[in-house]
Amino acid sequence: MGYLIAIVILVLIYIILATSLDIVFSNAGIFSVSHAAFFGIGALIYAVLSKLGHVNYFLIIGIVIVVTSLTAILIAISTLKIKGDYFIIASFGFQMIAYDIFYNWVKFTSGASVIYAIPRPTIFNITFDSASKYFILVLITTVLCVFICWRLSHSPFGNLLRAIKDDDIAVQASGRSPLVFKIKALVISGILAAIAGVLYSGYLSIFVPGAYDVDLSISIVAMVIVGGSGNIWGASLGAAVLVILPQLISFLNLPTTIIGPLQQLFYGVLLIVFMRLRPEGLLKRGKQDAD
Amino acid sequence: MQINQNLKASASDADVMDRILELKTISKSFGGLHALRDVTFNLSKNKVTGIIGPNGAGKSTLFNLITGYLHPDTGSIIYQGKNITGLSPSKIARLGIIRGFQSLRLFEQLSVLDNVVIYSKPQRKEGVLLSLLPTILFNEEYRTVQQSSRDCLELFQLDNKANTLAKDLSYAEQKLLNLARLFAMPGELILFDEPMSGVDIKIIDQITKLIKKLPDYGKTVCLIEHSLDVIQSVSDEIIFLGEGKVLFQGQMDNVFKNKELADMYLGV
Repeated sequence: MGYLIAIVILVLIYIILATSLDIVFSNAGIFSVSHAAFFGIGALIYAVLSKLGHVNYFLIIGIVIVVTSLTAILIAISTLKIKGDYFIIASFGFQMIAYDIFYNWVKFTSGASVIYAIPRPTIFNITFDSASKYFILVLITTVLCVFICWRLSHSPFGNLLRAIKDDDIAVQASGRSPLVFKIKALVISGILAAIAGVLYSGYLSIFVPGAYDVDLSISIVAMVIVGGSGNIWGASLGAAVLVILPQLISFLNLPTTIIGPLQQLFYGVLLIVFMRLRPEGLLKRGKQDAD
Repeated sequence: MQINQNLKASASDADVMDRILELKTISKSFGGLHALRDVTFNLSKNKVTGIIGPNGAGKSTLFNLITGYLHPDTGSIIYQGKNITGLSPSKIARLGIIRGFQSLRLFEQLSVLDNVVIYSKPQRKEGVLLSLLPTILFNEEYRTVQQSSRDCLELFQLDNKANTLAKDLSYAEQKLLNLARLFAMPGELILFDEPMSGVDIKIIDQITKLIKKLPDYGKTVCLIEHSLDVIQSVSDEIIFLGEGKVLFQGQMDNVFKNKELADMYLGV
Protein backbone atom coordinates (compact mmCIF):
# COMPACT_ATOMS: atom_id res chain seq x y z
CA MET A 1 0.00 0.00 0.00
CA GLY A 2 2.82 2.36 0.95
CA TYR A 3 4.53 1.66 -2.35
CA LEU A 4 1.33 2.33 -4.26
CA ILE A 5 0.81 5.68 -2.51
CA ALA A 6 4.43 6.61 -3.23
CA ILE A 7 3.91 5.90 -6.94
CA VAL A 8 0.64 7.82 -7.06
CA ILE A 9 2.24 10.84 -5.34
CA LEU A 10 5.07 10.77 -7.88
CA VAL A 11 2.59 10.50 -10.75
CA LEU A 12 0.63 13.49 -9.44
CA ILE A 13 3.76 15.63 -9.08
CA TYR A 14 4.82 14.73 -12.62
CA ILE A 15 1.33 15.54 -13.88
CA ILE A 16 1.86 19.11 -12.60
CA LEU A 17 5.21 19.22 -14.40
CA ALA A 18 3.87 17.85 -17.70
CA THR A 19 0.69 19.94 -17.82
CA SER A 20 2.56 23.13 -16.90
CA LEU A 21 5.19 22.47 -19.59
CA ASP A 22 2.35 21.91 -22.03
CA ILE A 23 1.26 25.57 -21.60
CA VAL A 24 4.49 26.82 -23.13
CA PHE A 25 5.24 23.81 -25.32
CA SER A 26 1.93 23.18 -27.07
CA ASN A 27 0.12 26.47 -26.71
CA ALA A 28 2.87 29.02 -27.16
CA GLY A 29 5.16 26.72 -29.18
CA ILE A 30 8.14 27.39 -26.91
CA PHE A 31 10.32 24.26 -26.81
CA SER A 32 11.99 24.56 -23.43
CA VAL A 33 14.37 22.04 -21.90
CA SER A 34 14.66 23.93 -18.63
CA HIS A 35 11.53 22.84 -16.81
CA ALA A 36 13.54 20.83 -14.28
CA ALA A 37 15.36 24.04 -13.31
CA PHE A 38 12.08 25.66 -12.19
CA PHE A 39 11.17 22.39 -10.45
CA GLY A 40 14.54 22.55 -8.65
CA ILE A 41 14.11 26.20 -7.62
CA GLY A 42 10.85 25.32 -5.83
CA ALA A 43 12.41 22.24 -4.26
CA LEU A 44 15.50 24.13 -3.06
CA ILE A 45 13.59 27.08 -1.60
CA TYR A 46 11.27 24.75 0.28
CA ALA A 47 14.22 22.71 1.55
CA VAL A 48 16.09 25.76 2.86
CA LEU A 49 13.15 27.69 4.31
CA SER A 50 11.37 24.74 5.92
CA LYS A 51 14.58 23.81 7.73
CA LEU A 52 14.66 27.26 9.34
CA GLY A 53 11.77 26.16 11.51
CA HIS A 54 8.41 27.80 11.62
CA VAL A 55 8.15 29.56 8.30
CA ASN A 56 4.52 29.55 7.21
CA TYR A 57 3.85 27.18 4.29
CA PHE A 58 1.97 29.82 2.34
CA LEU A 59 4.80 32.30 2.90
CA ILE A 60 7.18 29.72 1.40
CA ILE A 61 4.84 29.29 -1.57
CA GLY A 62 4.70 33.09 -1.91
CA ILE A 63 8.50 33.35 -1.93
CA VAL A 64 8.70 30.49 -4.45
CA ILE A 65 6.23 32.33 -6.71
CA VAL A 66 8.18 35.60 -6.50
CA VAL A 67 11.59 34.01 -7.09
CA THR A 68 10.32 31.83 -9.95
CA SER A 69 8.52 34.75 -11.59
CA LEU A 70 11.63 36.94 -11.48
CA THR A 71 13.77 34.09 -12.84
CA ALA A 72 11.27 33.34 -15.61
CA ILE A 73 11.01 37.02 -16.57
CA LEU A 74 14.80 37.31 -16.67
CA ILE A 75 15.12 34.24 -18.87
CA ALA A 76 12.19 35.23 -21.05
CA ILE A 77 13.49 38.73 -21.73
CA SER A 78 16.98 37.51 -22.50
CA THR A 79 16.04 34.52 -24.65
CA LEU A 80 12.51 34.72 -26.05
CA LYS A 81 13.51 36.89 -28.97
CA ILE A 82 15.57 33.93 -30.09
CA LYS A 83 13.40 31.55 -32.05
CA GLY A 84 12.99 27.82 -32.60
CA ASP A 85 16.08 25.65 -32.28
CA TYR A 86 18.11 28.52 -30.91
CA PHE A 87 15.72 28.91 -27.98
CA ILE A 88 16.17 25.21 -27.16
CA ILE A 89 19.91 25.83 -26.82
CA ALA A 90 19.30 28.95 -24.70
CA SER A 91 16.91 27.10 -22.38
CA PHE A 92 19.46 24.28 -22.16
CA GLY A 93 22.00 26.89 -21.06
CA PHE A 94 19.67 28.14 -18.33
CA GLN A 95 19.14 24.55 -17.18
CA MET A 96 22.92 24.08 -16.87
CA ILE A 97 23.33 27.36 -14.95
CA ALA A 98 20.53 26.43 -12.53
CA TYR A 99 22.03 23.00 -12.01
CA ASP A 100 25.45 24.50 -11.24
CA ILE A 101 23.87 26.89 -8.75
CA PHE A 102 22.03 24.01 -7.02
CA TYR A 103 25.31 22.10 -6.79
CA ASN A 104 27.76 24.84 -5.87
CA TRP A 105 25.93 27.44 -3.83
CA VAL A 106 26.82 25.57 -0.64
CA LYS A 107 26.56 28.63 1.60
CA PHE A 108 22.90 28.84 0.76
CA THR A 109 22.42 25.13 1.31
CA SER A 110 24.20 25.30 4.69
CA GLY A 111 27.47 23.78 3.62
CA ALA A 112 26.42 20.73 1.66
CA SER A 113 25.01 20.40 -1.79
CA VAL A 114 22.61 17.74 -0.54
CA ILE A 115 20.04 18.86 2.04
CA TYR A 116 18.81 16.18 4.42
CA ALA A 117 15.94 15.94 6.91
CA ILE A 118 13.61 18.41 5.20
CA PRO A 119 10.49 18.56 7.37
CA ARG A 120 7.02 17.83 6.07
CA PRO A 121 4.80 20.93 5.90
CA THR A 122 2.29 22.03 8.52
CA ILE A 123 -0.76 23.87 7.21
CA PHE A 124 -3.49 25.20 9.54
CA ASN A 125 -1.98 23.12 12.37
CA ILE A 126 -2.20 19.91 10.34
CA THR A 127 1.18 18.30 9.82
CA PHE A 128 1.26 16.24 6.67
CA ASP A 129 3.59 13.69 8.19
CA SER A 130 2.14 10.40 6.96
CA ALA A 131 2.18 9.27 3.34
CA SER A 132 -1.61 9.18 3.13
CA LYS A 133 -1.95 12.71 4.56
CA TYR A 134 0.71 13.96 2.17
CA PHE A 135 -1.11 12.25 -0.68
CA ILE A 136 -4.17 14.42 0.05
CA LEU A 137 -2.05 17.60 -0.01
CA VAL A 138 -0.47 16.56 -3.31
CA LEU A 139 -3.84 15.57 -4.79
CA ILE A 140 -5.45 18.93 -3.91
CA THR A 141 -2.47 20.88 -5.27
CA THR A 142 -2.39 18.82 -8.47
CA VAL A 143 -6.11 19.31 -9.10
CA LEU A 144 -5.66 23.04 -8.58
CA CYS A 145 -2.62 23.24 -10.88
CA VAL A 146 -4.24 21.13 -13.61
CA PHE A 147 -7.38 23.27 -13.35
CA ILE A 148 -5.24 26.39 -13.87
CA CYS A 149 -3.63 24.83 -16.97
CA TRP A 150 -6.98 23.69 -18.36
CA ARG A 151 -8.60 27.06 -17.74
CA LEU A 152 -5.71 28.97 -19.32
CA SER A 153 -5.60 26.84 -22.43
CA HIS A 154 -9.38 27.25 -22.91
CA SER A 155 -9.37 31.02 -22.45
CA PRO A 156 -8.75 34.01 -24.71
CA PHE A 157 -5.23 33.94 -23.23
CA GLY A 158 -4.73 30.36 -24.49
CA ASN A 159 -6.10 31.30 -27.89
CA LEU A 160 -3.59 34.10 -28.12
CA LEU A 161 -0.74 31.75 -27.24
CA ARG A 162 -1.85 29.38 -30.02
CA ALA A 163 -2.13 32.33 -32.40
CA ILE A 164 1.45 33.30 -31.53
CA LYS A 165 2.56 29.73 -32.24
CA ASP A 166 0.84 29.90 -35.64
CA ASP A 167 2.05 33.35 -36.66
CA ASP A 168 3.54 35.87 -34.26
CA ILE A 169 3.90 38.52 -36.99
CA ALA A 170 0.12 38.51 -37.50
CA VAL A 171 -0.36 38.77 -33.72
CA GLN A 172 1.81 41.89 -33.73
CA ALA A 173 -0.40 43.32 -36.47
CA SER A 174 -3.42 42.82 -34.19
CA GLY A 175 -1.86 45.21 -31.66
CA ARG A 176 -0.79 42.57 -29.11
CA SER A 177 2.81 42.04 -28.13
CA PRO A 178 3.73 38.34 -28.57
CA LEU A 179 6.71 38.79 -26.26
CA VAL A 180 4.49 39.91 -23.36
CA PHE A 181 2.22 36.88 -23.77
CA LYS A 182 5.17 34.50 -24.05
CA ILE A 183 6.68 35.95 -20.86
CA LYS A 184 3.37 35.47 -19.04
CA ALA A 185 3.16 31.86 -20.26
CA LEU A 186 6.73 31.11 -19.17
CA VAL A 187 6.13 32.69 -15.75
CA ILE A 188 2.92 30.72 -15.08
CA SER A 189 4.47 27.50 -16.32
CA GLY A 190 7.59 28.11 -14.19
CA ILE A 191 5.55 28.86 -11.06
CA LEU A 192 3.56 25.63 -11.40
CA ALA A 193 6.74 23.60 -11.91
CA ALA A 194 8.26 25.24 -8.83
CA ILE A 195 5.18 24.37 -6.78
CA ALA A 196 5.62 20.77 -7.92
CA GLY A 197 9.21 21.13 -6.63
CA VAL A 198 7.95 22.26 -3.20
CA LEU A 199 5.76 19.15 -3.02
CA TYR A 200 8.61 16.94 -4.20
CA SER A 201 11.25 18.00 -1.71
CA GLY A 202 8.66 18.03 1.09
CA TYR A 203 7.76 14.48 0.18
CA LEU A 204 11.25 13.02 -0.24
CA SER A 205 12.66 15.01 2.73
CA ILE A 206 15.90 15.34 0.82
CA PHE A 207 17.21 17.74 -1.81
CA VAL A 208 19.71 16.22 -4.23
CA PRO A 209 20.87 18.73 -6.91
CA GLY A 210 21.51 15.93 -9.39
CA ALA A 211 17.78 15.18 -9.53
CA TYR A 212 17.02 18.50 -11.25
CA ASP A 213 19.22 18.17 -14.30
CA VAL A 214 18.63 18.22 -18.03
CA ASP A 215 17.75 14.49 -18.06
CA LEU A 216 14.65 15.31 -16.05
CA SER A 217 13.78 18.26 -18.32
CA ILE A 218 13.93 15.92 -21.30
CA SER A 219 11.83 13.33 -19.47
CA ILE A 220 9.13 15.97 -18.92
CA VAL A 221 9.21 16.84 -22.63
CA ALA A 222 8.88 13.08 -23.32
CA MET A 223 5.81 12.89 -21.07
CA VAL A 224 4.10 15.66 -23.05
CA ILE A 225 5.02 14.11 -26.40
CA VAL A 226 4.09 10.53 -25.46
CA GLY A 227 0.82 11.57 -23.80
CA GLY A 228 -0.22 13.97 -26.53
CA SER A 229 0.66 17.63 -26.59
CA GLY A 230 -1.99 20.31 -26.64
CA ASN A 231 -4.35 18.80 -24.12
CA ILE A 232 -3.95 18.40 -20.37
CA TRP A 233 -5.34 14.85 -20.36
CA GLY A 234 -2.65 13.77 -22.79
CA ALA A 235 0.11 15.37 -20.75
CA SER A 236 -1.30 13.79 -17.58
CA LEU A 237 -1.50 10.37 -19.20
CA GLY A 238 2.08 10.77 -20.46
CA ALA A 239 3.23 11.57 -16.93
CA ALA A 240 1.46 8.49 -15.55
CA VAL A 241 2.82 6.17 -18.23
CA LEU A 242 6.39 7.41 -17.97
CA VAL A 243 6.43 7.22 -14.18
CA ILE A 244 4.73 3.83 -13.85
CA LEU A 245 6.25 1.80 -16.71
CA PRO A 246 9.91 2.27 -15.63
CA GLN A 247 8.84 1.23 -12.12
CA LEU A 248 7.64 -2.07 -13.57
CA ILE A 249 11.15 -2.68 -14.87
CA SER A 250 12.38 -2.63 -11.27
CA PHE A 251 10.17 -5.66 -10.57
CA LEU A 252 12.23 -7.69 -13.03
CA ASN A 253 14.70 -9.89 -11.25
CA LEU A 254 17.74 -7.95 -12.45
CA PRO A 255 20.77 -6.41 -10.70
CA THR A 256 20.29 -2.71 -9.79
CA THR A 257 23.27 -1.77 -11.99
CA ILE A 258 21.26 -2.91 -14.99
CA ILE A 259 17.85 -1.58 -13.93
CA GLY A 260 18.97 2.09 -13.92
CA PRO A 261 20.35 2.15 -17.49
CA LEU A 262 17.45 -0.04 -18.65
CA GLN A 263 14.98 2.61 -17.47
CA GLN A 264 16.88 5.30 -19.39
CA LEU A 265 16.90 3.03 -22.43
CA PHE A 266 13.16 2.61 -22.07
CA TYR A 267 12.63 6.42 -22.10
CA GLY A 268 14.78 6.77 -25.18
CA VAL A 269 13.10 3.98 -27.12
CA LEU A 270 9.62 5.21 -26.20
CA LEU A 271 10.45 8.75 -27.33
CA ILE A 272 11.80 7.53 -30.69
CA VAL A 273 8.85 5.18 -31.23
CA PHE A 274 6.33 7.95 -30.56
CA MET A 275 8.10 10.56 -32.64
CA ARG A 276 8.23 8.09 -35.56
CA LEU A 277 4.88 6.36 -35.30
CA ARG A 278 2.50 8.59 -33.38
CA PRO A 279 3.80 12.17 -33.10
CA GLU A 280 0.40 13.37 -31.85
CA GLY A 281 0.82 11.19 -28.73
CA LEU A 282 -1.53 8.72 -27.03
CA LEU A 283 -4.37 11.21 -26.72
CA LYS A 284 -4.79 13.27 -29.83
CA ARG A 285 -5.89 16.86 -29.35
CA GLY A 286 -9.67 16.67 -29.88
CA LYS A 287 -11.98 18.86 -31.92
CA GLN A 288 -13.63 20.16 -28.75
CA ASP A 289 -10.24 21.41 -27.60
CA ALA A 290 -9.69 23.20 -30.86
CA ASP A 291 -12.96 25.11 -30.68
CA MET B 1 -3.56 90.97 -49.36
CA GLN B 2 -3.90 90.16 -45.67
CA ILE B 3 -7.14 88.33 -46.37
CA ASN B 4 -5.48 86.40 -49.14
CA GLN B 5 -2.68 85.24 -46.84
CA ASN B 6 -5.16 84.24 -44.16
CA LEU B 7 -7.10 82.26 -46.68
CA LYS B 8 -3.92 80.56 -47.84
CA ALA B 9 -2.95 79.73 -44.26
CA SER B 10 -6.33 78.27 -43.44
CA ALA B 11 -6.33 76.29 -46.65
CA SER B 12 -2.98 74.72 -45.82
CA ASP B 13 -4.12 74.10 -42.22
CA ALA B 14 -7.15 72.30 -43.56
CA ASP B 15 -4.84 70.39 -45.87
CA VAL B 16 -2.67 69.33 -42.93
CA MET B 17 -5.73 68.45 -40.86
CA ASP B 18 -6.92 66.35 -43.74
CA ARG B 19 -3.81 64.18 -43.72
CA ILE B 20 -3.90 60.92 -41.82
CA LEU B 21 -0.45 59.70 -42.81
CA GLU B 22 2.61 61.63 -43.90
CA LEU B 23 5.80 60.05 -45.18
CA LYS B 24 8.75 62.41 -45.26
CA THR B 25 11.87 61.52 -47.28
CA ILE B 26 11.80 57.84 -46.36
CA SER B 27 14.77 55.78 -47.55
CA LYS B 28 15.54 52.15 -46.96
CA SER B 29 18.40 50.01 -48.23
CA PHE B 30 19.11 46.32 -47.85
CA GLY B 31 22.86 46.03 -48.20
CA GLY B 32 23.62 47.59 -51.53
CA LEU B 33 20.02 47.51 -52.73
CA HIS B 34 18.12 50.80 -52.42
CA ALA B 35 14.56 49.59 -51.91
CA LEU B 36 13.14 53.07 -51.29
CA ARG B 37 14.68 56.47 -51.97
CA ASP B 38 13.36 59.73 -50.51
CA VAL B 39 9.77 58.62 -50.64
CA THR B 40 7.48 61.49 -49.66
CA PHE B 41 3.68 61.45 -49.84
CA ASN B 42 0.56 62.04 -47.77
CA LEU B 43 -2.62 60.04 -47.47
CA SER B 44 -5.85 62.00 -47.12
CA LYS B 45 -8.48 61.03 -44.59
CA ASN B 46 -11.44 58.95 -45.74
CA LYS B 47 -9.99 58.35 -49.18
CA VAL B 48 -8.94 55.19 -50.98
CA THR B 49 -5.40 55.40 -52.34
CA GLY B 50 -4.07 52.70 -54.62
CA ILE B 51 -0.37 51.94 -54.86
CA ILE B 52 0.81 50.50 -58.14
CA GLY B 53 4.16 49.81 -59.66
CA PRO B 54 6.20 47.04 -61.23
CA ASN B 55 7.45 44.10 -59.19
CA GLY B 56 10.31 45.08 -56.93
CA ALA B 57 9.25 48.72 -56.84
CA GLY B 58 9.27 48.63 -53.03
CA LYS B 59 5.48 48.49 -52.42
CA SER B 60 5.52 45.83 -49.70
CA THR B 61 8.66 47.36 -48.17
CA LEU B 62 6.70 50.58 -47.89
CA PHE B 63 3.97 48.83 -45.90
CA ASN B 64 6.56 47.14 -43.71
CA LEU B 65 8.05 50.55 -42.93
CA ILE B 66 4.70 52.18 -42.15
CA THR B 67 3.72 49.34 -39.81
CA GLY B 68 7.05 49.09 -37.99
CA TYR B 69 8.23 45.67 -39.26
CA LEU B 70 11.13 47.55 -40.83
CA HIS B 71 12.65 50.82 -39.73
CA PRO B 72 13.63 53.47 -42.30
CA ASP B 73 17.29 54.48 -42.69
CA THR B 74 16.25 58.12 -42.99
CA GLY B 75 13.02 60.10 -42.92
CA SER B 76 9.98 60.08 -40.70
CA ILE B 77 6.46 58.70 -40.68
CA ILE B 78 3.72 60.81 -39.10
CA TYR B 79 0.36 59.21 -38.32
CA GLN B 80 -2.42 61.52 -37.16
CA GLY B 81 0.14 64.12 -36.17
CA LYS B 82 2.25 61.65 -34.16
CA ASN B 83 5.71 60.56 -35.20
CA ILE B 84 5.57 56.77 -35.34
CA THR B 85 9.01 56.16 -36.87
CA GLY B 86 10.79 53.37 -35.00
CA LEU B 87 7.79 52.20 -32.97
CA SER B 88 7.09 48.46 -32.69
CA PRO B 89 4.47 46.85 -34.99
CA SER B 90 2.12 46.10 -32.09
CA LYS B 91 2.28 49.69 -30.85
CA ILE B 92 1.59 51.06 -34.33
CA ALA B 93 -1.34 48.66 -34.66
CA ARG B 94 -2.73 49.91 -31.34
CA LEU B 95 -2.52 53.48 -32.63
CA GLY B 96 -4.96 52.47 -35.38
CA ILE B 97 -3.03 51.32 -38.44
CA ILE B 98 -4.55 48.07 -39.68
CA ARG B 99 -2.42 45.94 -41.97
CA GLY B 100 -3.22 42.99 -44.17
CA PHE B 101 -0.49 40.69 -45.46
CA GLN B 102 -0.10 39.38 -48.96
CA SER B 103 0.49 35.89 -47.58
CA LEU B 104 -2.64 36.11 -45.35
CA ARG B 105 -0.93 34.95 -42.16
CA LEU B 106 -4.08 33.42 -40.68
CA PHE B 107 -4.02 31.58 -37.36
CA GLU B 108 -4.59 28.23 -39.04
CA GLN B 109 -5.03 26.16 -35.89
CA LEU B 110 -7.71 28.51 -34.55
CA SER B 111 -11.37 28.68 -35.48
CA VAL B 112 -12.60 31.22 -38.02
CA LEU B 113 -14.34 33.12 -35.21
CA ASP B 114 -11.23 33.23 -33.01
CA ASN B 115 -9.21 34.58 -35.94
CA VAL B 116 -11.55 37.57 -35.99
CA VAL B 117 -11.75 37.86 -32.17
CA ILE B 118 -7.96 38.15 -31.92
CA TYR B 119 -8.02 41.07 -34.32
CA SER B 120 -10.83 42.80 -32.41
CA LYS B 121 -10.34 45.24 -29.58
CA PRO B 122 -8.06 43.69 -26.90
CA GLN B 123 -10.11 42.30 -24.03
CA ARG B 124 -9.30 42.27 -20.35
CA LYS B 125 -10.00 38.53 -20.38
CA GLU B 126 -6.82 38.04 -22.39
CA GLY B 127 -4.90 38.59 -19.15
CA VAL B 128 -3.71 35.57 -17.16
CA LEU B 129 -5.50 36.33 -13.90
CA LEU B 130 -8.83 37.24 -15.50
CA SER B 131 -8.64 34.07 -17.62
CA LEU B 132 -8.65 32.10 -14.38
CA LEU B 133 -11.68 33.85 -12.88
CA PRO B 134 -15.20 32.49 -13.43
CA THR B 135 -16.52 33.04 -16.94
CA ILE B 136 -19.26 35.34 -15.70
CA LEU B 137 -16.85 38.18 -14.88
CA PHE B 138 -16.27 40.64 -17.71
CA ASN B 139 -18.64 38.52 -19.73
CA GLU B 140 -20.34 41.59 -21.17
CA GLU B 141 -17.13 42.73 -22.86
CA TYR B 142 -16.40 39.17 -24.00
CA ARG B 143 -19.88 38.75 -25.45
CA THR B 144 -19.75 42.11 -27.24
CA VAL B 145 -16.49 41.15 -28.96
CA GLN B 146 -17.86 37.71 -29.90
CA GLN B 147 -21.03 39.28 -31.32
CA SER B 148 -19.24 41.98 -33.31
CA SER B 149 -16.87 39.33 -34.67
CA ARG B 150 -19.84 37.21 -35.75
CA ASP B 151 -21.41 40.27 -37.40
CA CYS B 152 -18.19 40.80 -39.28
CA LEU B 153 -18.16 37.18 -40.45
CA GLU B 154 -21.75 37.60 -41.63
CA LEU B 155 -20.68 40.56 -43.75
CA PHE B 156 -18.24 38.22 -45.51
CA GLN B 157 -20.71 35.31 -45.57
CA LEU B 158 -18.47 33.23 -43.34
CA ASP B 159 -20.87 33.10 -40.37
CA ASN B 160 -21.77 29.46 -41.07
CA LYS B 161 -18.08 28.53 -40.82
CA ALA B 162 -17.45 30.31 -37.49
CA ASN B 163 -16.31 27.12 -35.75
CA THR B 164 -14.28 25.66 -38.62
CA LEU B 165 -10.52 25.76 -38.29
CA ALA B 166 -9.02 28.45 -40.53
CA LYS B 167 -6.76 25.85 -42.20
CA ASP B 168 -9.83 23.92 -43.41
CA LEU B 169 -11.21 26.84 -45.43
CA SER B 170 -10.84 27.14 -49.19
CA TYR B 171 -8.33 29.71 -50.44
CA ALA B 172 -11.08 32.19 -51.36
CA GLU B 173 -12.65 31.79 -47.92
CA GLN B 174 -9.27 32.31 -46.27
CA LYS B 175 -8.88 35.47 -48.29
CA LEU B 176 -12.29 36.68 -47.07
CA LEU B 177 -11.48 35.72 -43.48
CA ASN B 178 -8.32 37.80 -43.67
CA LEU B 179 -10.39 40.78 -44.78
CA ALA B 180 -13.07 40.09 -42.15
CA ARG B 181 -10.54 40.31 -39.34
CA LEU B 182 -9.10 43.54 -40.74
CA PHE B 183 -12.62 45.00 -40.84
CA ALA B 184 -13.13 43.93 -37.21
CA MET B 185 -9.99 45.64 -35.99
CA PRO B 186 -10.32 49.09 -34.44
CA GLY B 187 -8.38 51.76 -36.33
CA GLU B 188 -8.60 54.49 -38.91
CA LEU B 189 -6.13 53.51 -41.62
CA ILE B 190 -6.27 50.15 -43.40
CA LEU B 191 -3.40 48.90 -45.56
CA PHE B 192 -4.30 46.04 -47.91
CA ASP B 193 -1.57 44.13 -49.72
CA GLU B 194 -3.09 42.60 -52.88
CA PRO B 195 -6.47 41.74 -51.36
CA MET B 196 -7.83 40.46 -54.67
CA SER B 197 -5.01 38.26 -55.92
CA GLY B 198 -5.92 34.65 -56.59
CA VAL B 199 -9.69 34.94 -56.22
CA ASP B 200 -12.42 34.78 -58.85
CA ILE B 201 -14.28 37.70 -60.35
CA LYS B 202 -17.38 37.25 -58.18
CA ILE B 203 -15.35 37.61 -54.99
CA ILE B 204 -13.39 40.52 -56.45
CA ASP B 205 -16.71 42.33 -56.97
CA GLN B 206 -17.75 41.56 -53.42
CA ILE B 207 -14.45 42.77 -51.94
CA THR B 208 -14.43 45.88 -54.14
CA LYS B 209 -17.88 46.89 -52.87
CA LEU B 210 -16.84 46.40 -49.26
CA ILE B 211 -13.62 48.39 -49.65
CA LYS B 212 -15.48 51.25 -51.32
CA LYS B 213 -17.80 51.46 -48.32
CA LEU B 214 -14.95 51.80 -45.80
CA PRO B 215 -14.56 55.62 -46.06
CA ASP B 216 -18.24 55.91 -45.01
CA TYR B 217 -17.22 54.27 -41.72
CA GLY B 218 -14.47 56.84 -41.19
CA LYS B 219 -11.68 54.62 -42.48
CA THR B 220 -8.88 55.58 -44.83
CA VAL B 221 -7.70 52.89 -47.20
CA CYS B 222 -4.39 52.33 -48.91
CA LEU B 223 -4.04 49.27 -51.09
CA ILE B 224 -1.39 47.61 -53.19
CA GLU B 225 -2.91 45.89 -56.20
CA HIS B 226 -1.70 44.63 -59.54
CA SER B 227 -5.05 44.66 -61.31
CA LEU B 228 -5.46 48.11 -62.84
CA ASP B 229 -9.22 47.50 -63.25
CA VAL B 230 -9.55 46.97 -59.51
CA ILE B 231 -7.40 49.99 -58.70
CA GLN B 232 -9.42 52.11 -61.11
CA SER B 233 -12.72 51.08 -59.61
CA VAL B 234 -11.85 51.55 -55.92
CA SER B 235 -9.25 54.32 -55.74
CA ASP B 236 -9.81 58.05 -55.37
CA GLU B 237 -6.14 58.59 -56.04
CA ILE B 238 -3.14 56.51 -57.01
CA ILE B 239 0.55 56.53 -56.23
CA PHE B 240 2.92 55.06 -58.80
CA LEU B 241 6.02 53.61 -57.21
CA GLY B 242 8.97 52.68 -59.42
CA GLU B 243 12.61 51.97 -58.64
CA GLY B 244 11.98 52.90 -55.02
CA LYS B 245 10.64 56.36 -55.79
CA VAL B 246 7.22 57.99 -56.02
CA LEU B 247 6.97 58.68 -59.74
CA PHE B 248 3.39 59.89 -59.80
CA GLN B 249 0.61 60.79 -57.37
CA GLY B 250 -2.79 61.79 -58.68
CA GLN B 251 -5.80 60.62 -60.67
CA MET B 252 -5.70 57.21 -62.31
CA ASP B 253 -6.72 58.63 -65.67
CA ASN B 254 -3.58 60.70 -65.89
CA VAL B 255 -0.98 58.15 -64.93
CA PHE B 256 -0.66 56.25 -68.17
CA LYS B 257 -0.75 59.37 -70.26
CA ASN B 258 2.92 59.42 -69.36
CA LYS B 259 4.43 56.95 -71.81
CA GLU B 260 7.49 56.36 -69.65
CA LEU B 261 5.37 55.18 -66.69
CA ALA B 262 3.20 53.04 -68.93
CA ASP B 263 6.29 51.37 -70.40
CA MET B 264 7.78 50.86 -66.96
CA TYR B 265 4.58 49.31 -65.62
CA LEU B 266 4.23 46.97 -68.55
CA GLY B 267 7.93 46.16 -68.43
CA VAL B 268 8.52 47.31 -71.97
